[in-house]
Amino acid sequence: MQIPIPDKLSFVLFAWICAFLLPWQFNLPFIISLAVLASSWRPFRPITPSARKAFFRFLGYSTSFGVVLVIVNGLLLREGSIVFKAAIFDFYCGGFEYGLTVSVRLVLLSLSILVFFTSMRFQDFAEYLQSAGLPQSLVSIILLTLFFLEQLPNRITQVFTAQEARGAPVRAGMFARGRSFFLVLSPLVLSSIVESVERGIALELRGYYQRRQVKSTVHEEMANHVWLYVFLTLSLFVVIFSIVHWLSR
Amino acid sequence: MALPVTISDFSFQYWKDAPFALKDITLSVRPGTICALLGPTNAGKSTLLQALAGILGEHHRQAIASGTVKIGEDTFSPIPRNVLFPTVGLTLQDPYYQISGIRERVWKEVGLTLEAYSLTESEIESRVKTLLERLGLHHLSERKPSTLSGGELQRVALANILIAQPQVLLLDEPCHSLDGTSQRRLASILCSLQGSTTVIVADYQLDFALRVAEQFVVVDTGRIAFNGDRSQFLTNLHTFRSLLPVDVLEQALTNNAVVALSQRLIKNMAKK
Amino acid sequence: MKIRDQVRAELSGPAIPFVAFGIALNLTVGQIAIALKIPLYLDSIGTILVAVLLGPYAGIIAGSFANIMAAAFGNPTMMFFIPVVMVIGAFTGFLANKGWFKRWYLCVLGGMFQGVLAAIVSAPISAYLFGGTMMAGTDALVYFFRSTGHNILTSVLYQGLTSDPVDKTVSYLLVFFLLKNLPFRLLSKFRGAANVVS
Repeated sequence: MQIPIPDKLSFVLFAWICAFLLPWQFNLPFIISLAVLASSWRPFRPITPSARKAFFRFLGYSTSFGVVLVIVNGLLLREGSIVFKAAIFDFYCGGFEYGLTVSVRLVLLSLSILVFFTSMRFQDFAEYLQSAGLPQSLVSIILLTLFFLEQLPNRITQVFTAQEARGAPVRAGMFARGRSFFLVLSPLVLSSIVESVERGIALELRGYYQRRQVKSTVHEEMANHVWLYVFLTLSLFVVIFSIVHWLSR
Repeated sequence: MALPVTISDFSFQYWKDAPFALKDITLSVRPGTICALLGPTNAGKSTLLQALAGILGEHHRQAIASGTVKIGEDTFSPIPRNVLFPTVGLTLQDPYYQISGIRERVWKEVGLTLEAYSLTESEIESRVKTLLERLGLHHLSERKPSTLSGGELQRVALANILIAQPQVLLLDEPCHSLDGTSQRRLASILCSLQGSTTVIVADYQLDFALRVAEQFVVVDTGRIAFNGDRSQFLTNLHTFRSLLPVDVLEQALTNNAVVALSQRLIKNMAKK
Repeated sequence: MKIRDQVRAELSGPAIPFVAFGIALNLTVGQIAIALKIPLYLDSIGTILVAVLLGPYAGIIAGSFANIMAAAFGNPTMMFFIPVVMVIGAFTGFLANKGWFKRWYLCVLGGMFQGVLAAIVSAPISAYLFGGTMMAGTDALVYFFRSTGHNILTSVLYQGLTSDPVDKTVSYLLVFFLLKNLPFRLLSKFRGAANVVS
């Protein structure tokens, strides 16, 4: 089972609305459920080993971030009663609460984005953007970036090795290494400028810049997107609930 | 349908006070002819091809040019100011840059050219696969373009242009980084275009030129040193020793002649 | 010129591959810094290169797309700093069009201004969304300011003002010297070539 990209986008919207409008007491279980869902449910599971690694690395980062934020704010934000004492340090309830609110909000915002992107190939996302009407030039930039991202690390290594072989001070003091940074970057930028010019000409020679803009076809398929309507409805419900709650205070 | 190309008194400088890249070029290529543009490095071959394709006019607005270029019924004085694709197609020296990097499969890469036209995806796929079969590339259609060898890349780059059926095809050093087998394959592809497309091939490899071309133009420091047919070119070959790798060709011809003679002898012996 | 026409003008010719290269450079320049053990981010260097050679809108596109792709490849918090990189791209393009990349001392001045601007724009994002904690060494500076009675926003702003001007000035100077060494014949293919050559 695959969930279409527009539906996943509506899920991200729902998660963001919850992150900004609902309290941490709701969002923390939401995060835990999302993490479990993303690990087990195919439509949301990371599709490549590197995506899976990035996902779990982020979960580790979020946990550390949350702990640090709660502790720091518990210590520095002296609001509410003292919850905890450790040697000369007092930890305040208000500070803990603030730390939890901020960390849970950030983690929910970020996790929803990460789950969205890691559950699909970026090329497929770019093609979806094209069908949604994003200008061809911008889609081409995205796809070409993916192409360069495959090649640039190797090229950097080659230039680095070549410069080291020519005597660049890559292992000397800070200033010398700073100079080496320039020595590595310079040929890289030069070769890339040459490549950009050649590639630009080659694209032109194939009539690439004479292309007609692709008509957006996204709206024609919307009737089949059940999850889209589910998440949009839930988002609307949360917004209305928050407004009513705020008015009744 | 192939178009004739006529260049009259064409001169070109990249900027004011620059040395002439091309001087007083007068050349006529009949429709459907394969013309070899020969000469050493920096002779002006690439400049001439880029001028015909419209790239020079597009990117060198500060250049100074004079004369006229006529492609089919269209006359440009002095050069086209915009790229003339698909009427005129040009392949560059380095095939690596001609792979867009935007498409993940060879057939989609070639099909990228047709995306500018109002064709459905299935029409594009059908046209591309027909062309790939003709060029001997059908077994590579699902491969990633960045994994191809130099010879395969060169043919895919050619396919990128041929898919639009240009009436004039310009090739800038197509044999660059090609082995003998790939060169022969390319030569047979170009020969198959004879009559239907006007082809101008710029290269320094004489044996390749002799394999494909009917008209030979030798360029030296921006001027035409020779313009004639195959027999005239071969008769005058010795005069180009300083410009072209004639001795390499002679050695190749000698080797080929020896091989051909040996094969004839073996055949005669078998008959007896 | 309308914005749409301006964007089209900036994204013509070699622009598309060069913007793509700028984005890829933003995402991989860290590899060089790590290999050389240099404590500098310089993750906007691609954005700055693009903005100088192509223009402010191209710079905005390069910066935004780099952050979106960084988010997609495992660093989702980069998404929230898109306004910052848009400001970097726009302001750099603006300075470049005014000729500030023709002289090294103007680059230094421009880098300082850029750093201050980046610190001002990123402060509310860091304060509100991150609570002033970026899980980096600079957090200590934020906590120090907070412990002296400043609120989170002010603390983050002060921390940003100590590091961003330095980072951006170094980036600007790097781009200045990179482009200065390039032949004009190559640079002339880009619409921003006049921004670099006196």
